[in-house]
Amino acid sequence: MPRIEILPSEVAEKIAAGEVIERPVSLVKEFVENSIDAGARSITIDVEKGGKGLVRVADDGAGMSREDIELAFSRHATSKIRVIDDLFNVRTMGFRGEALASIAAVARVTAGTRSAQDQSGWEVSIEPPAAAEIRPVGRAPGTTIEARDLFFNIPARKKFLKRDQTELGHITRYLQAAALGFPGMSLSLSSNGRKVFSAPAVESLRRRAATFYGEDIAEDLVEAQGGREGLKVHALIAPPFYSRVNRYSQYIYVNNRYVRDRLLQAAVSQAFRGLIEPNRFPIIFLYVNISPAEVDVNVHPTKMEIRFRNANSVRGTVISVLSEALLSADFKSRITFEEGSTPRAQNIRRSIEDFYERRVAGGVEIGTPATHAGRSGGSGSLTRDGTDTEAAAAHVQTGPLMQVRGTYIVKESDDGIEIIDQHALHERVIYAEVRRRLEEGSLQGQRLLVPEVIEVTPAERTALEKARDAFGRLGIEAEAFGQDAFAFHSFPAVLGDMDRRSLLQALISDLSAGGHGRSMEEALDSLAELLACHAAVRAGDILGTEELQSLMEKARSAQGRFACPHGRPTKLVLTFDELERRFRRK
Amino acid sequence: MEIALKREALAEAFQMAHAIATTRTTRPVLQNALLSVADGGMTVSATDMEIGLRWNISAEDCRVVREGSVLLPAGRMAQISRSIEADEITLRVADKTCVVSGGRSVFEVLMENVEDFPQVPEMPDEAPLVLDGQKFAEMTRKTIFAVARESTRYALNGVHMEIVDGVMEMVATDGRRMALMKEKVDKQTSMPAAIVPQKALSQVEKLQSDKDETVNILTRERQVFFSTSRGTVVSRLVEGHFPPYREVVPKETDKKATISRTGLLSAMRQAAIMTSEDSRSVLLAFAGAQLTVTGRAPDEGRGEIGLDIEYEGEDLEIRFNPQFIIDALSASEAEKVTLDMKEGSSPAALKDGTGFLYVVMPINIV
Ligand SMILES: Nc1ncnc2c1ncn2[C@@H]1O[C@H](COP(=O)(O)OP(=O)(O)O)[C@@H](O)[C@H]1O
Ligand SMILES: [Mg+2]
Repeated sequence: MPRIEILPSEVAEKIAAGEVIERPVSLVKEFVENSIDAGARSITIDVEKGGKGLVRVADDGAGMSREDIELAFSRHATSKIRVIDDLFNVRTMGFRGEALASIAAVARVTAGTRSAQDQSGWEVSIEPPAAAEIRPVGRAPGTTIEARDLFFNIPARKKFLKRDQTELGHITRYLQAAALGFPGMSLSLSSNGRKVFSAPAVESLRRRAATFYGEDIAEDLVEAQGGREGLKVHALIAPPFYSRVNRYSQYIYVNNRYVRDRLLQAAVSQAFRGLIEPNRFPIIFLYVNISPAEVDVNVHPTKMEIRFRNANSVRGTVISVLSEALLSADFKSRITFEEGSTPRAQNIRRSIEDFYERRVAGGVEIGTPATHAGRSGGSGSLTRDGTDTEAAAAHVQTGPLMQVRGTYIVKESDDGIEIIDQHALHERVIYAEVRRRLEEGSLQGQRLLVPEVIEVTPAERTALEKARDAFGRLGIEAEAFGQDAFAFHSFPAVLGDMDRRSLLQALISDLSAGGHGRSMEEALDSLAELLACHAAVRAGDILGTEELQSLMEKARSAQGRFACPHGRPTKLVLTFDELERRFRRK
Repeated sequence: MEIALKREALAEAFQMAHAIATTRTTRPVLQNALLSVADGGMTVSATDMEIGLRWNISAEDCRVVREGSVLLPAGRMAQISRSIEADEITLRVADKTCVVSGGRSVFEVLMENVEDFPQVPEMPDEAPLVLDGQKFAEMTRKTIFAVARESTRYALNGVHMEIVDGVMEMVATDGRRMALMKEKVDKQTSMPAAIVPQKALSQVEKLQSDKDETVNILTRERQVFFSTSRGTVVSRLVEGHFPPYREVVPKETDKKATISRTGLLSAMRQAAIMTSEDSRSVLLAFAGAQLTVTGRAPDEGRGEIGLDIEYEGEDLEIRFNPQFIIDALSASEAEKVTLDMKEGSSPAALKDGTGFLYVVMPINIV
């Protein structure tokens, strides 16, 4: 390991300035990043009082020599960069040489370290404003740094720290992200002497995901891989119906650095367009590896923000790698009767989620098929014409396909019994078909004997005028009809005899509600969604053998067939394993 | 109540009743049929509250022992009467059950309370419009297929009927095509405009014991009655305004094709094979005395069928939903049909030499 040196001022000036120590998690982050840079295999974190009382990080990394530890707490002291050019080729987590100095200014710091070459180690205590005092100490190779009483000397800032539980939440969350970036590293956290979690070194990202999200999700994760020389994209994607109400379960890493990057977040959303319910976010672990020269990490002192030299290319690559994996995937939600995975994993997940989401219930939890049905609005008790007894009575047996309650299709598969939501699946089939056709050009418009004339508000009128081309591509020919009406001369032929008026009205109001900033692509997309939703068979529609078979046939090749365009699952699988467990055959 | 009947007659009666009774299940009592035995015969009635049926079994087909009435499940009774292996079936009320027996089979069917069942009105005692049964069947056949099935404009969910100046008109449309049938009737007769639900009309033909039997029609307030010797179908009329259909008939057509009906039907069916299920459309290319019908499925291939025709006018390409053309051609029995057209984006009119006029809108050519 190179030695620590003080950066020359022309380099120091180029470093994004700013305070990095805001709260206990900042300490944890800076210490842990240093441990990672030191090549640690194992990192142990102890905190007290949510980190306000104590943050201690111990690693088994390279350690520091006496000369290094003397310098480590000085401003702009770093072993990681030397000259300005190094700033454009950062391969380490740290490079600013400021963290230890800043921390030593706001907390009581003690560090013990021993480099592998040395026979014994060194210990230093710094209590501002007193100077550091270095003494030899016997210890194993590696480094342990602890910071006590954060902001003991700045009461104004101390006041802003939150409850212990809140601060611990931030720490847990950060460490989880760090652990997910480095599966081969073991990482554990204790709070007030009690273990919060421990993530042992594992051989794969999938195993790591299992630690925090449980075996079920881990098993269902779909792998995406691609990119080019100098830009590799790797992702593990949970089926969209595990979606969350916020982005906290989106883990995005650039060169193993956990980042919060708008561009990449947007790329993820774009790839999930039409696969997930609006305002929900997928669980995804996304790893972008890019040559360090192509990314600037020196944007913000916390290094959570980055800038790509060629943003469009990164965005495009990420979208295409994710989309390809998503659209060809065949996700299925498994039905389990107990809540999934090990209790431990569950507890960790639960505590983190409780803290951050405050409403885990909003997410689609596996193991509750009733929830899926309830959300579909087609639980079978309410059918289109209110004839529910009839629907219930009509179990259409069609060889291997059976329709239940006029709502679900049940079939046997290799690993269990599949229960399919007919509306959701059909919706997806039509949507995929419409999208495919739109890519090729446009939908066919069936002309009408008498144009459908629909009154519009001024806002709707503007929206309609803007979207006229999009409508045209859907086979809908629209023409202004006086001041406050539009005449529609043709209608998508695909939709057959369905109620034109109410569909057009829905399209128009959806369009104007979407605001004016929407692109043609977005407009087309939401139109396609609406079309699919209206044209699909409903819950309660009794399907004949041929209809059932043709639906399954078409679904076989439909892109994104695991979820309806709003991201609800199309099918649940009750595995034979689960059945055997339940019937106590195992 | 006790009555002996021919099995055939009973089975047919329940089958008719069942067709009406099964559509609604929100009021379970409507799954039943009411049997009334009186005046030497039996009437079976059923209703879904929109359409009602009164089906008569005459003295020829039954022998009344004791009068009375009973309410029985229509579906189950249809099954029972169809499957009993005997020429004659006896129905007898005993205590709480109705005993249905024939040959060596005996069924005891629990009865529902007669009072719970709504009255199906009888044909009022007024002079009805009397129509030739065959003619009426043809008019129905040539219009009923164009009725809209899912429209919230309820007026389109039925067939519009009216007599103006001695001409009876029946017309149906789903907004994409319109089927109109005209037939001369007695100058004196008249009938106010009425929209008859598709389901009611489809039952009327079954009321005729043979094709020649005349059909009596009577409209009254919001109801229409159809009756023959076998029984009566009464239906609520569809409310709302039927679109001004006469205005839809294209007038300035300048191209005319005369085509063999079966030839065109076969060409359309063949071309339809090569269309994808989600957007069926076929291209008709008229050039000289040649019609070429082309079907294309984007990922599967294409089919092209040639046809000799008589054609007047400039060459024209026009695209249709093949099913629309097939529907009209199958309802017709003519040898030849004509198509009057103007452009690829304007309506075409199909005629078959009878009072039939079918206006069909094309699919945009993109
Ligand atoms: N856990 C550790 N193990 C080994 N060396 C460390 C450790 N923590 C800090 N150092 C050394 O101290 C230097 C200063 O750390 P820091 O102030 O965080 O700056 P930076 O990480 O940006 O270089 C690092 O460059 C590194 O050489
Ligand atoms: Mg550092």
